[in-house]
Amino acid sequence: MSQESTDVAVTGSARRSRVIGGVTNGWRMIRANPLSTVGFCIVLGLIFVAIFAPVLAPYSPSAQDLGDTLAPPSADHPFGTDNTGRDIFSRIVFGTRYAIAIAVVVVTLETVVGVSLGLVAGYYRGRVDETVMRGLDVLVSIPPLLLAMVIVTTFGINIWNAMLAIGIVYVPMMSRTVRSSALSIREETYVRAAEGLGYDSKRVMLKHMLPNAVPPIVVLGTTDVAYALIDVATLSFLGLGIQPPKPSWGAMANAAREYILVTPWPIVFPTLAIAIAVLGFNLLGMGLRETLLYGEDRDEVVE
Amino acid sequence: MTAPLLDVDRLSTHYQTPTGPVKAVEDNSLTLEEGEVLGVVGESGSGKSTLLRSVMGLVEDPGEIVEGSVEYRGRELTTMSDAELRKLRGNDISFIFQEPTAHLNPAYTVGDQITDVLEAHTDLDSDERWERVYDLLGRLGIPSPRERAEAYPHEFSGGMAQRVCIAMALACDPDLLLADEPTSALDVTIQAQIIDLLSDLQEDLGLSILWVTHDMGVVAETCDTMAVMYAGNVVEYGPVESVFAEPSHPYTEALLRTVPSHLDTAPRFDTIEGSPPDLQNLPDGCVFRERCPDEMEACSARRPPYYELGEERLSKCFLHEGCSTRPSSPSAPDPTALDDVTADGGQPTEWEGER
Repeated sequence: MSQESTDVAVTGSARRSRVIGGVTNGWRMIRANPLSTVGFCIVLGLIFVAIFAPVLAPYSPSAQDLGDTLAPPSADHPFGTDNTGRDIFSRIVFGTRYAIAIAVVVVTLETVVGVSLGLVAGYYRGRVDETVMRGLDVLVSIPPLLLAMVIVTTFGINIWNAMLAIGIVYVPMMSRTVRSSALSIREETYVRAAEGLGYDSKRVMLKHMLPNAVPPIVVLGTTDVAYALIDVATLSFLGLGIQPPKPSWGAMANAAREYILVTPWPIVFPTLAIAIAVLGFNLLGMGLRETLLYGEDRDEVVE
Repeated sequence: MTAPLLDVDRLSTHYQTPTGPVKAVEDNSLTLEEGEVLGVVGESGSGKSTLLRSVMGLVEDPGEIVEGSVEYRGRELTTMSDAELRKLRGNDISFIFQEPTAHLNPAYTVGDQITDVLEAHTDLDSDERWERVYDLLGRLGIPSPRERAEAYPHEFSGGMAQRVCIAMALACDPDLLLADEPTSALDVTIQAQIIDLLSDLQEDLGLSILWVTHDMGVVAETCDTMAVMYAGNVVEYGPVESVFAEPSHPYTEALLRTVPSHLDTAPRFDTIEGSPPDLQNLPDGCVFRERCPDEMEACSARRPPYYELGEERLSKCFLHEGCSTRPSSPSAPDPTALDDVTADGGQPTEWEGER
């Protein structure tokens, strides 16, 4: 999150003091609300685990030990082992990498496409707006997970198609949000003034409208990371996402499903990991929503 | 004689509404010479701002220029492509507006916003742009420009924000500045400062300014020529001194009487009886007829043409019947007017003669 706010500050002018200012500013906004503070800590934890996975994991995520399958948690294997004797803890640690990377790619895709469409619709209005928004309505009319499954099965089952599919599914929401902000920002005096200064449409949209639409984008983007985590896990659970033997939380839960009556641990820990990650991004998003969209005075939020 | 810097000819701008057009600017002609300041005065809703916006094609929806031409240095602006207009806007022709704080983007520091104008219109590199920003801000009387350039618009007072807006407008050395009531939202002492500042800059830079205001004092102090607007019509146009000394239109006369003077001992302000007409439903004949103390029979028959009174003075009033009319500025094309040309015994205007 702090990353995003610094990016915004940098676009104006690449000055180092701005970057530092942006980081402190971002941190201040996160600190302003307990929800976002807790969420941010969880997210930082996940990023830490993802980066230092080889150090944190006691075993290789694909190392099998056929003499010790489906073991319950013990000192050797803190989360137990799966049906081929792989250490569940190590697999979850490495799975963090995939989960986070995929969720971030999905949200980046969603943001780039969704923000562009929303800005264009809100800037040009009229026929352009109608065309873009009705096109997106068609996309919304198909159940999202179903649409993602259709895209993946049509274009081939691999992780890139899965990310693309989920990204496309999220675009309409982002576009609608950006469009509604853009429509009101379009009417602001400073945007008309920008036209009076002879700026072309690109400069007006990117430099004068977009920065003022950032708060809802940041909030939606953060919350959508959480949804992306769930959807990627779901696709993996259905065998359409990350392919074994890569450690994916969803696929681990799916594989453990067969042995649920033998031992619950192989399914409990991956789902717990999903839940914690989703909780982290959700809390961060909720907190930021209160701070960015309703001001830092929390009393205003409580109606 | 070279072409004037800005030549507005028979310009009409209407706002199209479901209940019919609102005639905010109707059949107006103005010229602004290089290095001069032209004041446009009138009450609220008389079409001053629409006239100014029409000049640069920035009329807001559903407004549109329905007739007439605007020439800048001999180049027609009303038919110019958007891309060409963009090259002129902010570069050769700049704006300053009424509410300075609303015209600055809250997401950027003021320095960023001024460099943005320079980035869009000049080839200066980043360092040169920032030097220019500090230079401009200093020149506009903003203390410690280097620090203030890093501040955001909300950290500026109204007067300081207007100085920033002027700096933005002047960043690319424009020739023509369109000022839409630049001092109306400021308090009186700040107004005086901004007016002085603009006057000084105008002299130093040889700027031409089209200054829209409702303040007669501003006109008297800063302008060379003035145009008085009433209900979408420029009813009188001429050099400031002679218009003030000898108003030739009853509306100008009435308007000048309403200006309170510290020499006045009268306990009440003079007012003009009645209220301006509905721009959607203008009366036949002269727009000021219903409130005019000198109303004659001719007034209700048709719109008065521009009568030329000499010394570059124009007046839209039948009191000057007999003076020559300005050919390029006929009365509004009103079918009843054509019938009445011979009936009222007036000189047919040349334009009507062509018909």
